[in-house]
Parts: sequence; C-alpha cells; structure tokens
Amino acid sequence: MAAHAAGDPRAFSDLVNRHRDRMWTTALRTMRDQEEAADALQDAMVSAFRGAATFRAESQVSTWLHRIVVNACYDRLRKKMVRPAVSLEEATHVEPIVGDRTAERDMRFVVDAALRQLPDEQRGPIVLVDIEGYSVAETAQLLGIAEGTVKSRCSRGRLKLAKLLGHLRNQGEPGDVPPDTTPE
Amino acid sequence: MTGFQQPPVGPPWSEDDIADLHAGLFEPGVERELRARMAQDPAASAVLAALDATTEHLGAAPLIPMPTEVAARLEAALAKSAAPKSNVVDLASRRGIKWGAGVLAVAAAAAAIAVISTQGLTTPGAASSQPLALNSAQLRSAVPAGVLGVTDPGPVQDKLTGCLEANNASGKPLGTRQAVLDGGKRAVILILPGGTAGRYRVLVVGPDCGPGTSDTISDTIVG
Repeated sequence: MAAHAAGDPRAFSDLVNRHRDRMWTTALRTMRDQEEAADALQDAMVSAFRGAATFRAESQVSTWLHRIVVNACYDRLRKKMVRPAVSLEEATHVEPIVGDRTAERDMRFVVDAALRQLPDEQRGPIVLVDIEGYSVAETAQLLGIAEGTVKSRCSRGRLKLAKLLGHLRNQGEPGDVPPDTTPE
Repeated sequence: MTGFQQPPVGPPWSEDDIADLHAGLFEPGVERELRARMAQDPAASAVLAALDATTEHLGAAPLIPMPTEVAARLEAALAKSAAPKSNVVDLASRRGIKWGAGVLAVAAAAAAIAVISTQGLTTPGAASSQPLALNSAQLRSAVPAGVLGVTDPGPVQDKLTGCLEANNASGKPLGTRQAVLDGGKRAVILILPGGTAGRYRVLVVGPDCGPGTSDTISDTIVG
C-alpha cells in the first residue's frame, strides 16, 4: 500500500493479486453468478484503487479490501434486483448434494452448490457470518438491516443448508432426524 | 427493537424454533433454559447437532481460485485506472481517450483478454494520443501505464500482422501504443499475453517492423 501511495503503478495490482482468491470467493458466493461476481469485483477494485488514500494504516489491507468487495456486491444486488429470489417455500424438500471429487474440491463444490439454492436475503448473511466470520452486528451494519433480521435469516438459511449438506434429513422421510427415538 | 423473540413451548419443538435458538434469537436467559430442556430431548438435540455441523462445514469451506480470465480482466481494469495518475504522460496526450466503465469483454482463452470500448477509445491509426515518453528500463520491469486497452500502433498499423509474425507473435495485442524511448528513439509498444494470469509480454519494436523485419528493440515478459 505504501508503494502504491508512492506512485508505483504495479503496487496496487500486486496487492490485489495477493488477496485475489479470497476476494473472488466472497464475490462469487455473494453474487452466485460468475459474470456478476466479476463485475462486482471490478467495481470494487477500481473503487479501492481510487480510494486508497482513505486507507487507514490501523486496519489491515485485507480487511479493507474485503469490505469494499462486500459493499460492491451488495450495491449491485440492491441496484439490480433482477434475479428472482428463490423462495424457501419453493423447496421445502431438498436433496442432499453429493459430489464425487477429491476432498477439497468436493467440499467446495458441495458448499457452493448448496449456497446457490438459498435466496439472496439468506445467502448474504450466511456468507458473511458463517463463512467470512463477521459478527452479527458487523453483518447488520454491512447489509443495512437489523441484527434480529440477520439472526432470523441465518436461522432459516442454516436449516435449509443443514438439509442440503446432508446434516439433517427432510421431515417426514423414513429415517428422519432423530431416527432412533423409540416410544413405548 | 431488542432482536429477541418470544420463547417457544415444547417438546416437541419445531425445527424453525430450534434453528432460531441456534441463531441466538432468544434472550440469553431464555436460551440457557431452552438449551437445557432441549438437551433432554433427542429430537431437538439432533437438530442442534446438525446445525452445529452445518456452521462448521461452512466455516471450513475452501477458497475458490480466481479464474485466469477474471484475473486478467482485473489487471486490465487496474491498468486503466492507473493511466490517468501516471506522471509519464501529460494530460494533453490523453485527449480523445475516454475510458468507459465496464467496457471490458473477457476472452475465453487464459490470459488472452480483449479490451473493447463502446465509444471513444483510441482507434487504429487515430492521431489522438501523443507517444508515451519512456526510458528503456521502465519497459523491462512492468507494463507501462497507458498501453493496456489502447490501440495506437502508429507506423506499424498496416503491417501489424507481419510485424508480429516477424517477432514470433500472433493474435490481437492487448494494447499498442507509440512511444519515444530514451528521449528520442521512435518505437511502438505491443502488449501481448504472457502465458499466465498477471504476466505480459512487452514487445517493443521500431517503426520498420513488418513482414520479414522484426526491428525488435526489446522483448520482455513482465508481471
């Protein structure tokens, strides 16, 4: 960042390269669509480049960049609103997602496939709280919603993800959780 | 607004109520009491365990590698953003170049990006931009600002394909720009894909570059 401020034309690009996978992951999981994620990331990085003078040394560069990416994604989601949200009620029965790849790729594939099935209003808080590690208060501030709303959306989203990821069976199925209660 | 809701009655508890408890939607005192009661109920305990496993699963999700074409696109966008801040080219040299936002199209090939402007970008042969003033050393370490996305091949415009072939290159350059090197030598800078994301081949040729004549001044991979 200091090199960028000093006028090194490659410094900012190098900075972006160091953090690119994390920023890409956030953008893609938030936007759900690769093209829109790329657009949001480009908005974010150009904005960060131009606003680098506002960077304060006491915060980490990665945190600063990451917040700009999150804000750019939500700016786009708020402005566009073109994608009809997937209603939770549309899919009360959800098939667990099964992958057949190597462990890491499989885990990523399964998680991302599950996240794509959540409506935007649930996926956003889940990505920020459960994947990115933001607090409920920080997430509420980033998304401009009440803390209770963040919790409520996480609650609904997690329940659906628990089924999509195979941790919880759909109600009413044979072997439904819990499978071993044996009343007299 | 407190953010807390009224406690449910159970057992049995609904999955929604259990998920709300897990998400912290009840006051701390109520949550403690509910957790103690649900711990006695296998059905509720199983749902809580599933929700714990879910958050653990999400928290361990690996990063997604950025595709090379997206990395190249970002690189080009940042290069454009850097151009107006460059100290090398004065403002007059940029007259006629209007950078549009969001005008990049991403080519499918790795690192092979095509930069397309919907309007106002310098067109082939247009005399709207003055040559960049650079020294040779600047071309060996980085892509110079003000070249990526620009089409200004100057004296090699009509023989660009032959010029590229003479230098063992092909395809559409990612940027071309006339330059004056080291205070007097006329040159044309050609930016080509460097083979991997974030790397570029910076080919600098003289005005005689054409079919059968490489007129190479420098040829460097940077990035």
